[in-house]
Order: sequence, then structure tokens, then C-alpha cells
Amino acid sequence: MFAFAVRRTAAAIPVLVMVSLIVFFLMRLLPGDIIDLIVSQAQVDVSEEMIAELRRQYGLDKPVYVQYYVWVRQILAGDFGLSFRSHQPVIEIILPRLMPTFQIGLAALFFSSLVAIPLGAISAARPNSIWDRIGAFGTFIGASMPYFLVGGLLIYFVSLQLGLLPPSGFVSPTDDLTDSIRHTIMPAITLALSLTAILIRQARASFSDVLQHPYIRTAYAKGLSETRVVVQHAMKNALLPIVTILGLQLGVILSGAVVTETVFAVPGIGRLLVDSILGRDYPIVQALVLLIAAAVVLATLLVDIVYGVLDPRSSRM
Amino acid sequence: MTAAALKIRGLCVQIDGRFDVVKNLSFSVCPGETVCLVGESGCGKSISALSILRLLPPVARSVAGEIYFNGQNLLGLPESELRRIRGNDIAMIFQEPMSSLNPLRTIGFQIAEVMMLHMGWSRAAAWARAAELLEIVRIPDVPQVLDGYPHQLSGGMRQRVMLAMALACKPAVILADEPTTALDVTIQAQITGLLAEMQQKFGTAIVLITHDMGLVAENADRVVVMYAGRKVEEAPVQEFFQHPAHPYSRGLLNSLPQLGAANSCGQERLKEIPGMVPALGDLPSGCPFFPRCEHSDGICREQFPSYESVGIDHIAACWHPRAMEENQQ
Ligand SMILES: Nc1ncnc2c1ncn2[C@@H]1O[C@H](COP(=O)(O)OP(=O)(O)O)[C@@H](O)[C@H]1O
Ligand SMILES: [Mg+2]
Repeated sequence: MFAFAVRRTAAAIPVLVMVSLIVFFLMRLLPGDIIDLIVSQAQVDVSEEMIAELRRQYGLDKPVYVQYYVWVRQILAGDFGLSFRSHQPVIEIILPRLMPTFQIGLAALFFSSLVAIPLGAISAARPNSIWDRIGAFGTFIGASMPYFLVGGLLIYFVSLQLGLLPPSGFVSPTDDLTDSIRHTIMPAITLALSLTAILIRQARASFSDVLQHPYIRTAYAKGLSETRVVVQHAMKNALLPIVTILGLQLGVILSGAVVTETVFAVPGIGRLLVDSILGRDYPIVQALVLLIAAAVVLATLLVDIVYGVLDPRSSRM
Repeated sequence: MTAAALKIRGLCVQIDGRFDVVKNLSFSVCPGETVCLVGESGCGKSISALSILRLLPPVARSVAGEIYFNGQNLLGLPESELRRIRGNDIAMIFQEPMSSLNPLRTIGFQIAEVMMLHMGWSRAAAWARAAELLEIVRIPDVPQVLDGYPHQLSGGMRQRVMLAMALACKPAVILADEPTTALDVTIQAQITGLLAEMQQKFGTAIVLITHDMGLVAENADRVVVMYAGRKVEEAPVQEFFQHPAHPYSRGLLNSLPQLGAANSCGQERLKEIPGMVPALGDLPSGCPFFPRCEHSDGICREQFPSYESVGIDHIAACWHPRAMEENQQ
């Protein structure tokens, strides 16, 4: 198991190298850099010499491949550098932003599993029933509603019209748990919608497949009720592929976070990413993208381990 | 004659609401008796067995007939009452030992579950009994197998587990659908031996589905021959082997290897009946066997023959059973 984890981690290194290269060069392909922004916002005229001096200070005067080399050496030494805009260490800026994203993402995952797995199971056990139709409709809605629309509708009706939940911002659970939960619900539901659509389809397909197996007939032949057959004999088997899907949804959650955090003004990494790209804050964007890539790699590794625990046949790990 | 443990009357099963896969099937099994349901594959044996416990696949539906168990018609029973009979009074063993057990649940759980369900036993009591049952079906290393999973066992061992599961609630009837077809010959004999042993001990009525005449010779008390969804002959086993009345039965028996050894594979043997089982969509009117029958004439094409007595406890549905017997001599 340990050897397996080490091997998988090693296999992730080329992926991370690729990601670092892409984000590094892509950022520099965007028109304008931090210096242009500073100059455009300056009240006074800035001389050519001063611009050159600024570029030198930010390390942007060297050729791009040299900049990359410098950056990679820094990272390998555990230093993500300073933010271009606030001049604070990148790590110190990112760390407090992780919690809101993590909390909302986890809540979204929880909501969508809670809805999608039972709905998928019932749809599979009772094809063409009312539940199956609700599931199909939910899939359609979830897949076709953009985040900003759902978020906007929720804010309008739930917050502004009914005044039930706060429309924006975030409160740490350590400060005020209830208020933290109240701030989490709407962004999490928004984020959960497309995830739920994906999961309902997956769960239905997975349960339909499992329910075809001869051991399901054996379970019925024992005298088990439909509910017990599904829960005791189909659930675990059907969840195996769903676990894989869940792990791979981390990417969906993080990309969704970019929009939902903007809509709900949540100070998470999604919003930090947007702000940093707009502000041409290269060190933060690079660190964030690398972090997200590492998280996705870690999630797939975790999925494989969970899979191994759930499935007694995969002892080859 | 003792009262039948299970009595099937006029069972008809349709697929897609159109095709008759089982038509007007009647037979019964008495306690302690083994009835073998024989016929080529596709003739409706499994469908018949599945309809007894109402476990038919969604495309199939029993449209007529009665199935009596304990004076109740199983086909008219509410689902909740039927569940109390499944696995408890009537147990079923399937052909595929590889896929009939849940790969993700322990063997112990799968056996104990049925006792916790029907007898209301505690987990501990049910597991203890599961261990005893595994001993009874002669599985070695019982504690290890209890906590193990199906993929760790061979096909024969899995079928023993299925057998232990079927025996758990001491059922009055066991429906065994080709329980040994997927196993090799020595294991086959062990499994049927175990079945016979349990039958002697508990007086179980057994419906054994097979297309292996060797198994029939060794295990059956009575034989029911099916062809294209119809029963075409029913006879006590000795009578069946000595005086088969239906040309199809004769075909089945003629294709048995000379010394009566049950060791060559079934498909080879059946080649000796010319022609093929008709497809569901184009069953001929009249006797379904007439296109393959050397004795068929005009009447065979027009009408399905009625069941006539052709010996003691021996009935057949054939227009020319006697002619056949004469030919034989
Ligand atoms: N799930 C199913 N869907 C459609 N047709 C089926 C299904 N199961 C069985 N049949 C048809 O019913 C007939 C009888 O099948 P079966 O009872 O399994 O035969 P046997 O057990 O005698 O080999 C066959 O013609 C088969 O094609
Ligand atoms: Mg069959």
C-alpha cells in the first residue's frame, strides 16, 4: 500500500511539471503585466528608466526561461515568493483562503451525494417511475443552469425576498458556527447543482448495471425486500464506480468555485485566482494553479486507496 | 400417495406479452422426491423455475396457471407474503456459482443473512449456524471461509456455499437450476451427492433442472421432459429410461453415451437430434416438435396432442407414441 502510494506520487511529478510550465507561460502570454498596471494607475508620468527599474525589481527583465528557472528553484527550496501586489508571502495570502473553498466544496459534495445517490438508486430500481423522471429532470436542470444564474436566483429569492440567508461573504466556523453554516448553504447548493446532475446519471447507470447481476436475483430468492436488496447487495457495489467519479469531481468543484465565490463574494481561492489573474499577480496565480493540480492528483490517489478498501478483490495493491 | 410439496397447474409464461416460453406446464413434487426437469437449453426450464418464486426477469410474466405450496397459490400471493416463503420454505440454487454470490459481502454474511431474516436470529447465532452449515457441505477451513469473499473460492466451493445458503432455513422445496453444469465432473457428483444427503435427512422435495441424462439417471425419481415451453412427457425414472414414449425423449436418450457414463459434454450429445429448437417467434402450430420428428404426419402439424397415459404414472403428449415403441423393437 505504501509502495503503491509512493509510486503514484512519483508518477504525478511529470504532470505537475507540465502544469507549472503551462501556467507560467500562459500567464506571460496575457497582454500587459503588473508593471503596465502600476504605470497606468500612476498619477504622474513615469519615465522609461523607472519602468525598466521596476521590471528589474520584479524580476521581469530576464528572458522567460530564466524566470521559470528562478521560480522553480525557489519552489524547490519551499519558497513561493512574494505577491506582486501586496508584497506579502504568497503562502500567507493563500492559506486563509483555503478554508472557505474547502468548506463550501465539501458541503456541495455532501449535498449532491445525499440527493443523487438515493435518486439514482431509485431511478435504476424503478425505471420510468416518477422518481426516474424527477432524476432525469434534475439532471437536465443541473447540467444546463449556469452557476451565476442559480447563484443570482438564490440571492434574489432566498436572501433579498425572503431574507432567510445572507447573500454574500463568509464567516469562519471557529468564529460562529451557525453563521458559518448560513453563509455556506447557498454557495454550496449552487456549486452542487451541476455535480448533482453528473452524479445522478452516474448513480443510475451504476445501479442499473449492478441490479442486472445474478447475485441480485440470489438476494431476492432469499426473500429480501427490494429496499434490503438495494441497500445490502447493490449499494456497495454500485458505489465503487461512483467513488471514482466523486474523486474526479474535485476539478469540477474548484472550477465552479471560481464563479460561485465571485457571485457570493466568498474570500476563497477561486476568487483569489480571478483577482490575481486580473491583477497579473504571477506568483499567486502560479502557486494556486500548482496547488490545485497537486490537490487533484492527491484526490485521485485517495480514490484509489478508498477503492482498495471497499473492494476486497483489489488486494493486489 | 403423499400430498405434493409443490404443485404446478397449467402454468403459462409469456415474454414481451407475446411469445409463449412456457405453455400449460403442470407437474408436482412430493416431499423427499426429486423431479428432474429436462430438455435442451432454451426450452423454458429456467423460466419455469423462476416463475415458481416469481423471480422472472422484467420482460417475462406468468399469465395463467396456479402454483400451490402449502395450500396457497404462490402466483396470487401478495409480494410481502411471498418473501416469507422465498429462501425459507422454497430455496433456489442457480447455475452460475461464479456470479450468484455477491463479490463484496463475506460468505458468512451471505449465509447468515437468510437466517437473520427468516428466523429472526441474532447475528452471532446466525453466524454460528452458518459455520455449521459450511461444515455440513464439507467446506474446509470454515472460519477462514466465513470471513472470506467469493473470489477466494473455486466454483465447486462457491456452489457448496450456495447449497449451505439454500439449506439454512431447512426448506421444504429446493429448486436447483443446473447446479452443476458449470462444474467439472467429480465436483458435480459431490454436489449432487450432498443434495441427496440433505434430502434424505430433511425430506426435502427437489426440482432438479438439467440437460444431463447422466445426472437424471443418478438423481431423479421422476422425469419431466420439456420441449419449446411444453411438457411433452412425464414418467418415473426407470420407466423413462426403459420405455420413453415421446420421440424427443428418445432422441435425448439415444444421444447418451453407451455405458451411461455422464462424462461427455451436453452440447455434443444433443447434436444427434436433427434440427434445432424453434425460435420463440415462429413456433409451429400443432406439436412444436413435428419439424424434427421422423414420425410426424398431418395431425401433428395441426393440433398439439393431449396428454395420454402410456404406462403406470407415465404420460406423454404425442400423436404416435405406440408406433414409436413398435419401431424400437
Ligand atoms: N431475460 C430474457 N429476455 C428475453 N428472453 C428470455 C429471457 N430469459 C429467457 N428468455 C427466453 O425464454 C426461453 C426460455 O429460456 P430458459 O428458461 O432460460 O431456457 P432453459 O433454462 O431451458 O435453457 C428462451 O427462448 C429464451 O430466449
Ligand atoms: Mg436455464
